[in-house]
Amino acid sequence: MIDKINANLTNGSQLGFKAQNLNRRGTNPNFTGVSPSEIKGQINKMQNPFMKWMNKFENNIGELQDVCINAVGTGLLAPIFIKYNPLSKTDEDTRTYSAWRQPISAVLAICTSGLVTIPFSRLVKRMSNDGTFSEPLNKSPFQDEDFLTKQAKKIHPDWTKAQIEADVKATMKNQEQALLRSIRDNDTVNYTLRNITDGKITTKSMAKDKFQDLLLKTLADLKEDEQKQLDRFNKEKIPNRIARCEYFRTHSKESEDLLNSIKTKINETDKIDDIIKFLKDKRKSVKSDKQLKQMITEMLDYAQVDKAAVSHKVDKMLGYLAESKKAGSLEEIKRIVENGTAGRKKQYEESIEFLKSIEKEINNGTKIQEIEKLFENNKAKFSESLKNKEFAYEVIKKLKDLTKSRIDGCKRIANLIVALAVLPVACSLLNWIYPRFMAAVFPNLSNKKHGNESQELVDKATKNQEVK
Amino acid sequence: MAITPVNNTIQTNTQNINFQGEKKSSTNEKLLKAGVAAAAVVGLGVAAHKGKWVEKAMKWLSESKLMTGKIYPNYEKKDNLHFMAMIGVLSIILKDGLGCYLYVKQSLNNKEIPDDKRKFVAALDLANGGLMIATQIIAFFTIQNKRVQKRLFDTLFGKKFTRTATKATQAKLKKLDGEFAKMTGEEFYKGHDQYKNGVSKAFGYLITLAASSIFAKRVVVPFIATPLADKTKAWMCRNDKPEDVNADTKNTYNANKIDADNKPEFKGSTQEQKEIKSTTSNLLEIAKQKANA
Repeated sequence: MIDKINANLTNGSQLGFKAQNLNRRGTNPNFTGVSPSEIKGQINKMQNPFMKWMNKFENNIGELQDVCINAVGTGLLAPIFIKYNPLSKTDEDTRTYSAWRQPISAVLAICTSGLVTIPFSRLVKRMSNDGTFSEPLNKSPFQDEDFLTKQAKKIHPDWTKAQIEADVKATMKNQEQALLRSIRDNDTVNYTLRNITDGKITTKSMAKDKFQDLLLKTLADLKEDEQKQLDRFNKEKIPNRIARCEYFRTHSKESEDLLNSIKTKINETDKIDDIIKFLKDKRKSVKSDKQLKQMITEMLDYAQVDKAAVSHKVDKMLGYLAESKKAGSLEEIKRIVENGTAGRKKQYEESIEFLKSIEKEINNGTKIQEIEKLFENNKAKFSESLKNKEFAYEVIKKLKDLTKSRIDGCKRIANLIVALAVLPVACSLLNWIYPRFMAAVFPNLSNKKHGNESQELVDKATKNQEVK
Repeated sequence: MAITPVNNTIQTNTQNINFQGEKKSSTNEKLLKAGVAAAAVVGLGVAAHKGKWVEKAMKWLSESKLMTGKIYPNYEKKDNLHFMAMIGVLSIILKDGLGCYLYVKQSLNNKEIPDDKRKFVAALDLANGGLMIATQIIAFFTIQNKRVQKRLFDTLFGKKFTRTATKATQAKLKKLDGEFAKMTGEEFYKGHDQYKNGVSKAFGYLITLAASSIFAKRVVVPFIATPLADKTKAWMCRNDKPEDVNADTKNTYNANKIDADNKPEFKGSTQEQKEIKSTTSNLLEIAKQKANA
């Protein structure tokens, strides 16, 4: 079994990509091999039951579930508020008759969604993954996991879940490497295009101007990120630190007492639960003091990790306290904080300046490998966030984002057209089914039952009444 | 004298035979029409499937000028709230507006719905449709608005994602054995952002579901639409002649809660007098009234 999985991993994926067995870590030093979904899963394990439930909910909610929840609302809730409506003066029978229209329309909504909306949505997904759509909506260089899983199941119906998962993972890895190579080596993105009529597969590369546009958009995102961080630094981080240091200056005794008591407690015990309990009690006792409360909340966050983390945080705060106590005025505090943060501020500013210079390089047609070299050579002056980024990977990220946005836009308009086209059919169906359903199930509310009775009345009239 | 009833009987029987025959032939005709329509739909479906019409239409739409020139550039922009609002409101008005028009029109012309209830059904459709459009537009700009949802999420769960809380989570993960210990900052933030975005998306969906899909659309709308439908029906019936209600489908609801059997009768009000009061000369109506009495 393991041999079979290994064979598939090395021999290539289901879609004909020759496996290169490329090590992700080898190409990008910023990745150790832990996937974001694994980290996401691990973070989820640390959360409370409600957050876990929300995460589960996010993973399981699909279009069908959405339609069903809406239909349950229409079918069960709405009729109650029509039938038992105290504000209405219309008689109860008429309201009951009208209320029954809701559950019937809910059932019809599920049918229409099942037959039209959901298959249509799946069709769009399939068309973008298998290359039927042209480049703006084409996902062939980075196909979706569920599309690849479906394909693998189709090609290898005898495979186990583990084999399919391994194959899909390998295919996705290979696709990412292939995409990275085409961006780095050829300054383009290679697409697979499928002809609708004969199913013939061809390949096409992204046009030079489109690729340049993609690079500029990627750069604009990076610049925006840096600008946001600089703004946050200026508007939140520095004022907050000034406020805390000023508090330390003006309330040095209270702060010192609190920090020292926490420090003593940490030194006294090795049990993290005792430290957490102590911090919680302390937080209750200082409820009116916003700054002290905030400090303890931060320490509680670190206490969730371990004793060393919370101890380190307390030491850091004691350091700020010692420095702030020396300051004679608020102006002095401001100067200390600004001096302390000047380095980071400069990093953000220099990162933005560098990105602006790269914009010129892209417009001049500089190759991506050259741009990456420029990134590497200037890394020392970058902000922490930009240091961890690799331009080619950022291009891939942007390409995925743009394709997804365009698919969303196309889907929105197409769904609107489909909904408008289906509406007359759904409406006619409801109008056909509803009175017949009512006549069959609630003959007392519907006069259909009395079709023959009216005939009897006619007969009765001809026998007993003489026409004058 | 003896010939007249015989003639009457013959006439009545002939009429009945003709009536049933017409009914039968009209049923057959309806069945035939339905069969032809069903066959046409199936044929069209097969042709569409074989010719891949839907795929071709979708591809054409995806490459159309509307998409490449207007929709894609606007969807590519981040936080393009003005355009998104325009598309959202347009979509609501078009879908619900057309739906409302079709439902009202078809309900009014649906002879299968009892006469005395038809207008109320249509009025409810109209009130429901109008209110649904209004509610959805309000929800679109409030509870479904991404900024409002973010604000609510930050208020309720923001403390779990503060800078210190995030750093603490990272430190916790780093303490784990295996690859997590070697995890880089970027890897952590990627996973962390995915988690935060996922939970925030679920939260947005949940509050939209609770406030808009369930409470506003299924509770508030029918609650207001029902009394509004009374007024709409009254407006629809403003030029109508008074309509007789079928005895067997007559309303059982009595606002004054007076028992029908103990209804007070005026002195001298007799069956004969009631008959004299009847102004109709239609024998069927007279027979109906008698039967009802």
